[in-house]
Amino acid sequence: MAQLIAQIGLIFVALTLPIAMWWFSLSLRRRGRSPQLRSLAAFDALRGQLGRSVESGRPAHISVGTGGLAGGEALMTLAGVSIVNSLAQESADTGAQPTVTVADGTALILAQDMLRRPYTRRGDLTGYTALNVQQLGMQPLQYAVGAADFLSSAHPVSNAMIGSFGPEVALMVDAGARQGLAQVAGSADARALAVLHTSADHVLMGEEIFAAGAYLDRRPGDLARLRAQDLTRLILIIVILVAALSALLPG
Amino acid sequence: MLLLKRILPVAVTVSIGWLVLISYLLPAPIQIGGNPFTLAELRGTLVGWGTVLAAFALLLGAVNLIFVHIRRIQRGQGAIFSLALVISAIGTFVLLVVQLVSLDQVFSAVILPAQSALGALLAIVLALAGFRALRQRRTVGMVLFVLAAILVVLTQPLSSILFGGVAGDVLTWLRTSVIDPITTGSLRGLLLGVAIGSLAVGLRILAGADKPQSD
Repeated sequence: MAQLIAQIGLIFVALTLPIAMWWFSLSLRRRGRSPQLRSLAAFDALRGQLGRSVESGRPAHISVGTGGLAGGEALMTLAGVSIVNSLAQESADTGAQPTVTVADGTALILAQDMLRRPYTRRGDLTGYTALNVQQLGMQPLQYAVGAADFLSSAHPVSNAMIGSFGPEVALMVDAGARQGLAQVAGSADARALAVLHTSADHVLMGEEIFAAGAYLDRRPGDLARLRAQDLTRLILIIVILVAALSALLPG
Repeated sequence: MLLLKRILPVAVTVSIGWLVLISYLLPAPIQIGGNPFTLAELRGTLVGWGTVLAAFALLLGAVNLIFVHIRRIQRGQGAIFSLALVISAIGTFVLLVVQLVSLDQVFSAVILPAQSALGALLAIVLALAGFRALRQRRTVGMVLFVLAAILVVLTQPLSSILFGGVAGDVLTWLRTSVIDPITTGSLRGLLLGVAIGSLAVGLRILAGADKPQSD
């Protein structure tokens, strides 16, 4: 019983702390104190991808990772899909449709929906092509091979890979490097990050992949969430340091 | 239309999300009409529905895969490989339907060896990526390469046997006292950040502030 109460208490703190920080950040923003976001070159590079696509007439490639919307990798897949969402409106306006590749049916449906929304809003689906979202495999390694082949044969203008990846991302990033593509990558997996650091031009590490909405769209809610994340992390760091120091003290 | 397109998907997501979360917090049975009932049972039913939907998504994914490769054949982009994929996919489907082969046979005869071969290829690609980093980004690449080489030597538990004596002991001490704490600490920092980020995104979905499923 005591264990259950402790578990519920821990979950309660885990839920309320970020909410409190989020509310605090929103109230700061309402008072006109906007958070200063540190510069992340990866997002600047992402913004320019569709522009280069228009100039060159070649598609930009966006990979949302090897995960789907079920299971532990769901939030990372959502982070990848949020990039698609952020670029969808610009894509519909300019006609420079990116090619989005996925490895899971649920991610396929969501990515197609994200790309279709701007066209639905304007009530004209003429420019929308469902096959611009492509499922290249059902397993991570199969998908990575398919995506590597796509990067080599379809000659995209750039390569963005943000989502759930493992070490198999090496095949993709290697194919992109051989083609001399501008590559932006992000993952929360340490093995994938180790690989990406060698070949990608810009790497989003860990929780940075969840900041896409805030950096690309600058929505107030996303900016507040980002600040709440930073504040929560700061509080946790202080708690960990205090706990570590108290453990070191004699008695 | 607004109700169907915007409000309903968010309402369904938020209510089911909270229900599943609460089911973990309240594992004890509840009495409904005299019958004991746990939220975990309801969670099981909802997960079952989710599995059915995911199965349809898998089917859609397979159809998309075939159409993507048919388009590639039409455009002449890697047509031979795409043709091989389409023929094998349809062929395997037919063989499975008429029960000439079993899924286990296909897995052990085709998929497993192919995955193993690709896994072996991955190691070579990783080594090549390291060398490319060394060539293209000479300053950072050099440091990374040298560090990686040292790490490979140090992280071997056999370092004391390989080098023997004092040198082996020093290398083992370096690994356990310097390298391991740094890498473990860095990895935990990364995981902590990811956990907080995931929690924040999850909470926003549960609060209906993030609506990936709705316009």
